[in-house]
Amino acid sequence: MSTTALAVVLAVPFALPFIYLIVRNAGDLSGLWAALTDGDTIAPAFRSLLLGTSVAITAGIIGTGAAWMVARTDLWGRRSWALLLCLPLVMPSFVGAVALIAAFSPGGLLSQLLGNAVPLPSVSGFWGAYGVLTLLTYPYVFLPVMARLRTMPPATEESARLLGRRPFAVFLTVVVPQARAAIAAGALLVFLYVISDFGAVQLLRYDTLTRMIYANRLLDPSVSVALSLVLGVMAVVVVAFERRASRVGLRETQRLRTPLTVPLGRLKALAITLLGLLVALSLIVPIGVLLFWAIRGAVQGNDRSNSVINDPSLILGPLGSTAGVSIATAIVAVLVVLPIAYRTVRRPGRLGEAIAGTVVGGFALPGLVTALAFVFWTLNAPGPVGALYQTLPLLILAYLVHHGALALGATQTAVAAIPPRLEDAARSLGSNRTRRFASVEWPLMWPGIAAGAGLVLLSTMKELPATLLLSPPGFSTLATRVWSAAEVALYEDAAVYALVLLALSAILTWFLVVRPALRSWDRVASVQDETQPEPVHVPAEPVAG
Amino acid sequence: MHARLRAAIGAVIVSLVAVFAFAGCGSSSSTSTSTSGAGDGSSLVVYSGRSEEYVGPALAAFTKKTGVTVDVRYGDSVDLGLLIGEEGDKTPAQVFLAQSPGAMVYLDQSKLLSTLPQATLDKVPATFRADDGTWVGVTGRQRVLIYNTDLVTQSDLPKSVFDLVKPQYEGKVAVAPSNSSFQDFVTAMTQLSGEQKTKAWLEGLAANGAKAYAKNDAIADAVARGEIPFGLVNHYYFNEIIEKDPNAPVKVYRFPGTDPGSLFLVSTAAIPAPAANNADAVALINYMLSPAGQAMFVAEEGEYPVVPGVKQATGQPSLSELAYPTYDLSGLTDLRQTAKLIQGSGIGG
Repeated sequence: MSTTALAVVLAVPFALPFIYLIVRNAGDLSGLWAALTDGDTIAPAFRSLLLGTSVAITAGIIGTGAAWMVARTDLWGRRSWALLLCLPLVMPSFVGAVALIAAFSPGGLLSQLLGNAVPLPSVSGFWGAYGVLTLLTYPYVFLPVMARLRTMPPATEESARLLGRRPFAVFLTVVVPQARAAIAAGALLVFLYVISDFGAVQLLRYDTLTRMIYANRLLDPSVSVALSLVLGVMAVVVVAFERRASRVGLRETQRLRTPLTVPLGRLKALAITLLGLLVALSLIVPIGVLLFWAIRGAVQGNDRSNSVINDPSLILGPLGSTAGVSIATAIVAVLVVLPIAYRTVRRPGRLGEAIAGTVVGGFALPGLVTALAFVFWTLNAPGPVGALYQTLPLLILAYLVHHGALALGATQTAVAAIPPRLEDAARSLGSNRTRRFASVEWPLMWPGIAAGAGLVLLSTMKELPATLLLSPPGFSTLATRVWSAAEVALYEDAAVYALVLLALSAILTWFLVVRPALRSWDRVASVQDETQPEPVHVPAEPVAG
Repeated sequence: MHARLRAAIGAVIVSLVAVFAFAGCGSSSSTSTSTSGAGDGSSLVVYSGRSEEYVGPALAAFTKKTGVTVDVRYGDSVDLGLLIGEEGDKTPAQVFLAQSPGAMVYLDQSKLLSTLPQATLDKVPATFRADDGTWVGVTGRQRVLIYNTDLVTQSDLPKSVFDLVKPQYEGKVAVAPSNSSFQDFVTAMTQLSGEQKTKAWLEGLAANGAKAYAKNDAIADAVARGEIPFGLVNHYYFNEIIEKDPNAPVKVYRFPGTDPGSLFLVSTAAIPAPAANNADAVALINYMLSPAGQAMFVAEEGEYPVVPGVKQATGQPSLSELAYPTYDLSGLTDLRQTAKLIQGSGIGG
């Protein structure tokens, strides 16, 4: 078997869910047609688009504005702001939703502060989902735009300012157009995140496609499968655009000089207030609400014997399952993706693009859709495929399909970074393939591969819908524990599981996202004209849901 | 190329080993929704439409007593019923616990349940179990209306559940349309009052701005905080509110007489056909019907025991005093039909 054949074979699983959806819908065209023409099933598609567009635009504005303030103005503590503003990445959407609901729940923070006299508004529906998703997704715009702004040549801006344009006008007419591709790529990722989201819209009860797909999965499977295809096609189209936008973004990266710094003057206090508010709402308040419930729950106690508050050792099972399944997925992902990375980097071409595209397609498909495709497929298949139903290997396969692309990107970069002359030298010295891999390639590649594995680990840890649908009976992760506790309004339990999940996620996010971002920050700060910067690579993580 | 091939094959083998090695240790380490046994090695897969909060303690006590590990998939009763329907012979479920009879009747009609041993059936009065012996009631609960006393005075209370579509209740009523107790209540209402009247009532509720919640717990919370004045729930959710906050401004109201709104439902247990006569499965159901098991459900949340002679919770009318309508359980057949009726009414989910 050649590397090509191996890469093709390994890429096949990534296409399976989509192929299944097409085959199944093709076998039931009347059902597909009925679903596509029924107002009750099409309304959710419009709600998905409405929510996705609203959140993408708002997150685009917030993310770009924050990036400009941090990257290009004389704000105090810009490095710290850069760090704080990307931290909301640690929070899965369902945890954000739980925090919002718990804050407004009776006996929650707000009712304690205001007293029972003030009736609290309901947070469910469009506005709740819009708020939570916007606050959690703006970093997807903030990070790439900040990276772009820090490496953008200041010449045009300088001219504009010398010609008398005000800072804000310069921002709109010079800065935004130049960062256009980065903003677009970020906003498209946000859009994908929102239309794929399951946790927040389900908890906040806003009837989008994902919610409709979930509600009908058993009641009317043909509707569910038809809508899955609709959502899948939407997601794949978005990812295709996103990849184009970010490729343009990389080309735009130019020779670098110390970027222009705009003095904010009297507006400095306002800028600090705005950024502070953003960090407070997206990070401090949700964590504060969770801490409030967890601490009060622990102080007051309760009489439920199966509450994690009474028996902290109950956390160990979900913690072990979460760690185990995530680590297994990360290892499998690296092993599967490595041959694909070799093939696509070493012999670029149409076939290589198709293989890489298949892997990315797996990532584009929402986790809920991937999981449902596997559920239906294994349920209806005889023999060994059918035997996979509700087993851990199938769950790990679904994780792999959904998150493999995260490892592929990093691994491709790692493979590409091996200087061919080193390999040539090793070969001429008589090393065989295995030896060359072990002594030359692996030592050079492993940091990149580890980063890729880490991203898979981080995303798998926070995954919700596939875990809910595919895990074997009795298997629960921190994410599903948060979910089930929140569903029955046991917010003190949900808060404990959520805080543990956030802590784990924060550690990984620090190493995988924040530290690299800060390093590139420092590099840009110290760099002189003659160096060509590496493009800052923003991992397209974690479109979970 | 040969070396490369070897490396590649090696990679695949290692990955497969990793998957299966983990699969092996993973399923034994998932203790959270499973209860660890004392070590005789046997284990039981339970699908539970009742939440962990309510059945978890009884399952843990069962494990402690018998050493049988229980792996539970929690979910919605209707969902799990339909899931077992889809899974058919492949279902891993060995015991199915549901909030209400509807899901059981549906599975029974699809020939997916086994007949329970007569000794198990005999523990429960005939009105609380299937005529053909495929499922038994485990606990009893009544449908009630809870209301916020800050927002509602006695004179505002409706005479019948059908009154809730009147203008004075516009935007004031909370329901949980996807909940199986609500669905069984709708099915029973169809029997008691006819499909036309039921459909009109559901559409009336939707038109009157009744608010849909995901779960009864959420309704209880919403009524307690004054988000909405009225909520249609099972009786024990009232106990739950009071437990959380003894001063909560909430009271419970039972529709007078044999109004469909005061339906009495049993939570249920059954053994799916592939697990017929599984000794551990039978033992679990027997345990839940034992005096100790019944007492746990009564103590946990104030449900009504279905086994004669078990003491009832204090502070609520006794089972013999309750007025409720009777209906034909075997009429609770088509889960999908009721679910579609509810979905079609526009009340949301």
